[in-house]
Amino acid sequence: MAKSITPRGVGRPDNEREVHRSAVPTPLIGQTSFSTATDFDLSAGEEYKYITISLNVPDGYRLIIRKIIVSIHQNLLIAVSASNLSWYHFCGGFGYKIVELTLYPGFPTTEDIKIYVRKYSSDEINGSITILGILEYTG
Amino acid sequence: MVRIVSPKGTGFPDYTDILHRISVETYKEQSSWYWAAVPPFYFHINTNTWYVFQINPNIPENRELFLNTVVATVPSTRLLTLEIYSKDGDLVEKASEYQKVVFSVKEGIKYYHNTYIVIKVCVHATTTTTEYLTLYCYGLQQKRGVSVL
Repeated sequence: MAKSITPRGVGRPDNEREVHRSAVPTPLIGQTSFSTATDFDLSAGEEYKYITISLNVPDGYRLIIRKIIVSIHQNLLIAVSASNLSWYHFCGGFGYKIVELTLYPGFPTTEDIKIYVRKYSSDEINGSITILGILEYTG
Repeated sequence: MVRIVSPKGTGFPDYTDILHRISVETYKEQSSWYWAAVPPFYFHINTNTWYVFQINPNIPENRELFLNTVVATVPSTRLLTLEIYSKDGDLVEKASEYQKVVFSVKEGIKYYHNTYIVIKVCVHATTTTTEYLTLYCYGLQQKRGVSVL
């Protein structure tokens, strides 16, 4: 027996609205690009320094650090390492004038980090630290 | 002919609950977490000598690891060679650069439970001397069998 189905718009529900509401919130990870930079210097008498980087990760988010770039104006050798506030060192390296630490797919954190910079010359150095990553909603 | 359809709340099923459960569970299946191996990463080594680093990533049985990044640096400007081996012991990556070698790919090298990451490094010099080496690795660990998007 053929059944007559009421077409849309005249009272028959098709649940389209409910399906849309269920599907859209599913990609719960909202990701946005993140970057921050800060200057630093080491005077002639300083061998190394720990620089705390304020990441200001909002509540409900985490930061996936993808790259740390430490560059100085002088063409000198520096050593860099990064650690979290619990002193867990998660990357490091040497470089002349610039140290670019790739962390792909990334180091997740919700707190500030510390960057250790060490110079091997008695000259004063000044430069900048750039942190690049993805800010991810965790709910 | 207009048919009277029972409104919600009076017994007419709309499957919203089932749809929501299916979509949320699908997302959970694809969940993954980040992995990093950072051995005490300053090593004092001899030049012209191959060093083998065997890293146990401790991958659980139902998960797999994609090794995406390996970075090795030395403080001098000497030539540095990096070799990465697969879980089956095959050489899958070899690169030589002055001062710093970076291996970083989106797809990553796959490792399973009970497999080791083997990385070999050599600093080349005209004379035998010592060097400091830094080495660290990063990857993504996820449920085994789920495709990486």
